Amino acid sequence: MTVFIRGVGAVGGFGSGVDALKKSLMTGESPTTMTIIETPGGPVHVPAFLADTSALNDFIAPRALRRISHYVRMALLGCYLALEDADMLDSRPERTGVIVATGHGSTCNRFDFQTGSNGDDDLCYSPTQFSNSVHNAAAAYVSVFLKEHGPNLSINHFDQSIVSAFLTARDWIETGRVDAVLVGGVDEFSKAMSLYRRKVVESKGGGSYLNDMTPAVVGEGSVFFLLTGNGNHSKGYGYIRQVAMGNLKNRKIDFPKRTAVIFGADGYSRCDSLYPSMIPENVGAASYQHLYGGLPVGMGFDAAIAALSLTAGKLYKSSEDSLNGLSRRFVSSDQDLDGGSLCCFKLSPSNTFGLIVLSVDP
Amino acid sequence: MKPQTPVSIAGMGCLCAAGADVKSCMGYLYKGKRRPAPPTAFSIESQTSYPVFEVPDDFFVPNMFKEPSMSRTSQLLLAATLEALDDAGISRETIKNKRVGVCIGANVSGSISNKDLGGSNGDGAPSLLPYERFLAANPVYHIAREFDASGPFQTIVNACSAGADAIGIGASWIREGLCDMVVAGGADALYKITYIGFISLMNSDNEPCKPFDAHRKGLNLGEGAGVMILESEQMRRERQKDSRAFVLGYGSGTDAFHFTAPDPDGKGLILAIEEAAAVSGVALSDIAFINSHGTGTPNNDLIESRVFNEKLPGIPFFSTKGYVGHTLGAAGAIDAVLTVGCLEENRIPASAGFTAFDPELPASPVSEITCVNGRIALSDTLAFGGNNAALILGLEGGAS
Repeated sequence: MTVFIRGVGAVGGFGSGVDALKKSLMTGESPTTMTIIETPGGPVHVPAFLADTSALNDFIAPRALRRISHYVRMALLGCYLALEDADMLDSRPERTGVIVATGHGSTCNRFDFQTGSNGDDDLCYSPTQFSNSVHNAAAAYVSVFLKEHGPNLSINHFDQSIVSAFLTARDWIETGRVDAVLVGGVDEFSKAMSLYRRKVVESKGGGSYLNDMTPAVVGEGSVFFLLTGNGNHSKGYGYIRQVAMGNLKNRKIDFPKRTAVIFGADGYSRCDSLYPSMIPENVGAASYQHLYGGLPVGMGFDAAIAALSLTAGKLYKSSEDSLNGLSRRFVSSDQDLDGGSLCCFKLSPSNTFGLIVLSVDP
Repeated sequence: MKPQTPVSIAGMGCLCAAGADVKSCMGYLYKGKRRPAPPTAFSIESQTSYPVFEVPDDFFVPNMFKEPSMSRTSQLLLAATLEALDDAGISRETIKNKRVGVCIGANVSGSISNKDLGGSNGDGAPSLLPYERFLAANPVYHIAREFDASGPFQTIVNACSAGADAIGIGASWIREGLCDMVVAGGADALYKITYIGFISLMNSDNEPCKPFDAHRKGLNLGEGAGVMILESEQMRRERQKDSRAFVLGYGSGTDAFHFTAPDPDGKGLILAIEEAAAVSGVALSDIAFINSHGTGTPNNDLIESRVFNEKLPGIPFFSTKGYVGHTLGAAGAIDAVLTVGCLEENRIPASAGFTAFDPELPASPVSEITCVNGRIALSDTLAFGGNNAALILGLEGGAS
């Protein structure tokens, strides 16, 4: 059984919905917000791609969202947008699974909760804040609001969370466990991680682990896909042809013959400098972190962009920064796709790779 | 839904307050004693103390860990994994050219504490090192690095059902031909954050917990790890080894009722049990016993009792939480390991903490060591957020 992408929902610094993502692909821009982080050493200004979840009110009554954190709101909005895009808001397949991937979980809540733990009375905590910090909070709320009783999974595997989630989503559909899967990822703007990334840039003298390439602005957002098995695919984006993850040391990476690669380098990981040697010589390469930012579930946004590219029949212009060793192959302007496939490729400092291959044909 | 072929359990490991290995844990359960105590790993500024089940430091083999900065969760996991591999008779040489996946359930992927980062804004840290340690603290990656595992990898954070879900998903990797072997299980260490968090939710008992008891008022947290080495039939035949047991079926279901409160009708739990039974071909009447989730909270135990009475009437059950505490992400995995242990012993322990029948509960656990006949058992878990998981485990690779 093949796995088909019926709908995509995305929210991030570019806005909310696939149309907003497509617009930012066409213009090559997304607006940033200057955040101010108070630190013992004084305020620190950090530009970020922040997500606006007000569109969630179109799907869920605001009163019902009173105690829901920003992190969960992003996940809910991504899911509802994916369902809307798939024309499945009012009716879904009987058995639908939910898989939510996250790199850091609800970090803001978690870290704020920990600040409170240094007080005189350790037992005066907010139970709401604690429960919202639990890493399966987003998936749980998705099921509650959608009234979905199928299998539900939360995966927290840093920047390989998305590919790990897709692996299980594909398995659930191919084994007939479910008829559809709502799978995706969410990561929230994190003050602590933002300051870490700032330190990376400082340690590299204003550069990044990508040599000349400017590191990505810190981002937050959510991106979800409605996947189904064989069926009437009158509307949709294409097929998930391959999902692979493993150890770089003892696993061979099988890139398809006719393909282009969207790679997930954001400048903050030591392994980013490996991309030139890992991506095959004769394929085009593109990166889009300049539109959604640096965040662990960034691979999900790459998959969404790949889906949009397949539908448009072209690979959108990549980031203008060049990557040493890849500049000859960088997609510097919109490029027609010669049928074939698109690979989303992510390397991690843990010596792990993730690969998701999308194609027009099964 | 495709039937699930049995997956071989080649070996098991377990480390928790009850013991440093599977044999010690099983012996401890049958002794019927327990030793909850106030936490020693952290201090709390409060007049009320809530007992926990900590793993004593002398349960760890000295100099076992090459990386001194390894998180306690990773240490627990590695210790249990080493025991499981030894139990399976699998050496590093054996798996050198094998496809080895790692699928683990835990509360969080990395370290839960940001204290090394110098507070919530993280600017107290003088260098990148604390951040990079935080980012490298994933227990799955520790196992992957230790044994040069080829992948795939997955860290499941389904709260209390994570360990059981990891075993179920790991088994699917074997069935789908992705791996020759999977290190599957769960691990969680005791942290101040979760300790205080559960108290804030009024889910903790300030006395030793009493699962299913009329006077139960909450849970006691614990820590530990449970690991199963799952193996393909081909690899098992190559090694010419017998299986220790089998994962016959795995099911999961979601309450979709409320974020913190379980569905009073147990809808998600029923779906999980029914799926596990359907895909394994096991009739529920063939289940010899149930290793329940049994946390000691009023709602959890009531729901499980109702579901057992409705779906598995008359089948004896017990809870391990009175012996090992609620180990969160490790719970489902530790329970799966102990379930196989009980099958091998043909007896189940008394449900620690249970002394008084609750008239509201239609079914109650065993209050003394009970002999059981049968080669198949059910282990179930209910989780925060409405996740429910069920594993059907057996000593033979068939349905009965």
